[in-house]
Amino acid sequence: MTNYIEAVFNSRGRLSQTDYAFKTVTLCNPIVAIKSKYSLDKFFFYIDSLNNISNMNYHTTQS
Amino acid sequence: MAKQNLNEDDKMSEQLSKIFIVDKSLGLAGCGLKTDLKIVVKRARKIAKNFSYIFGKQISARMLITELAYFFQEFTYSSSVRPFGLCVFIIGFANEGPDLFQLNPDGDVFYIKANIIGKKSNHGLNFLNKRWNKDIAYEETLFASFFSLNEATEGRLKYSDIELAVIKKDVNFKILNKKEIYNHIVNFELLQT
Repeated sequence: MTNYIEAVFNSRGRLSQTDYAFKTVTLCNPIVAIKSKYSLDKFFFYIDSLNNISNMNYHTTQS
Repeated sequence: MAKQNLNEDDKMSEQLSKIFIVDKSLGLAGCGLKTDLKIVVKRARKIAKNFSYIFGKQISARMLITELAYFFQEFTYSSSVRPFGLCVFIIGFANEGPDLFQLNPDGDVFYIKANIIGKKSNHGLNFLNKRWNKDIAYEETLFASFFSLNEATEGRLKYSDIELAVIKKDVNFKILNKKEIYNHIVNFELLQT
């Protein structure tokens, strides 16, 4: 979560076109993107998959 | 703000949305020149469609961002064109979990957990740095996003200006409508300001 935007000057001491593009972005309305915790879902997924495997074995032994 | 009317029909004009659906569980949000954003969205959808046509499954966020990064970088050295004035977030859901990427105008890709881009993003970023932790839950995520936007806009955040999109496991990328967003904001009592 660092600020990636930084000005880089070229050999003539001017901003490059990309830096102007960055500056354009900093003038526009902000957007937030956040990722929440996922490990709990992953855990449940793991349990589900185990159950599926055990069920599958059960059915195969029955047949 | 709590007493704002839900019917915003009296607004003179409405801006183009900044969040787009690329594929079922793949979304894109961009900050910058909106006309450039339309071109990028069109390109992203084309890449996703081509991939699903050839391989029969949806493209992952990681592959899509790689392709888009090449597209962006091409515009930094080609003659008679300029780089896109855009920063793009791409969000997707793979088997390992949610993927969130940031693409900068120079074609630089970052795998991020949380970030804010745009005007006065430093204020929002300070708030986000305090609130965010690796065990953040879904409701807290919404709370952090609303309040970091509020910080960035210096407390002048209107619910009618907010767009919200959510992606979950086994649920398609969904852009929430105004009523759903309003309900979320009421929960956080943000409107009392």
